[in-house]
Amino acid sequence: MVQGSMIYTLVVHSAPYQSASAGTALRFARAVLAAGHSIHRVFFYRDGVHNASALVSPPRDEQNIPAQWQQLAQEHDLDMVVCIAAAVRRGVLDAAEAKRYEKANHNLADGFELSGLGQLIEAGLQSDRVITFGGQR
Amino acid sequence: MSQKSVLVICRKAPYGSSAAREALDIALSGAVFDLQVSLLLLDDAVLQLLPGQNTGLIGEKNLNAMLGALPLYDIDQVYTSLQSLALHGLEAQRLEPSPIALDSIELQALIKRHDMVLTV
Repeated sequence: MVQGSMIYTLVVHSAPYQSASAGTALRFARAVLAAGHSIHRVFFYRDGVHNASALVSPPRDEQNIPAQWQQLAQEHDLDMVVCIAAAVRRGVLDAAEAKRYEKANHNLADGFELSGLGQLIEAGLQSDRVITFGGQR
Repeated sequence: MSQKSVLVICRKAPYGSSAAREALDIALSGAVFDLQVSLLLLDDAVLQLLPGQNTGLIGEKNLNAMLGALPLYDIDQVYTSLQSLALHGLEAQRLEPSPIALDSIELQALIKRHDMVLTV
C-alpha cells in the first residue's frame, strides 16, 4: 500500500444498462485501485443486484458489466457482496436460495456472494470512504 | 473499533419506489450494529411520515409500522428540512414520528458531523 492510501467501500444501487451509474461504479473501482488505494468491499443493493446476474447477455458490441466486475474482482481479489433480501426479491438467486425457494434454477454469477445488509455496515466501519453509486436525488 | 455514526438520507415518496423501505432497512441494520443512526428524509421523502397510511389497495406493506418501530432500535432522531415541509404544506408536529426540521446551514452541519452518509 502506498502512503496516504485509503480503504474504500463502493455501494451500487443501480442496474447495468438502465443507469450510467452502474458503469461509473466499475470505472471508479478501477481508478481507486490504479491510484494505489484498496477496496474493502463492493456492496450491491436495490436494483444494483442485477450486476450480479450470470444471465446478463448484452449484444457482442456492448460492454458486459457483470463480466467486467468478475474480471476486476479476480485480478484484485475483490469482495463483492449482494444484498440477499434485495436480490431474491428481484430474482437473483444462488444455489442455496434457489433450493430454499424451490426454484429450478439459480443465476448468481461466480465471484459474487449473497449476504445481509450487515455486510454494508461492517464495510463502512472498516473503510475510510463509502461511495454510493445510483443513490436517489 | 470506534463506533461510527451513520446518516441515512432518502428523498423519495413512500410507495413510488422501494427507496423508503430499503433506506429503512439500512437504518435498522446500522442500529443492530449499535451504531448511532439518524434518518434524514428530504423532499418527497417527508411524505413517509404522514400518519394513517392505507396501503391495502396497492398491496404494499405499511410504512407507519416500520417507522413506529424506530425507537425500539434506538433510532430516536428523524430529520427533515424546512424546505421539504414547505414543499408539501406539512407541519412537523403532525407527522409520525415528528421530525426535526433543519434549515440549509443546519443540514450541512448534520451531514458533516456523521462519519458515514448513505443515500438511498
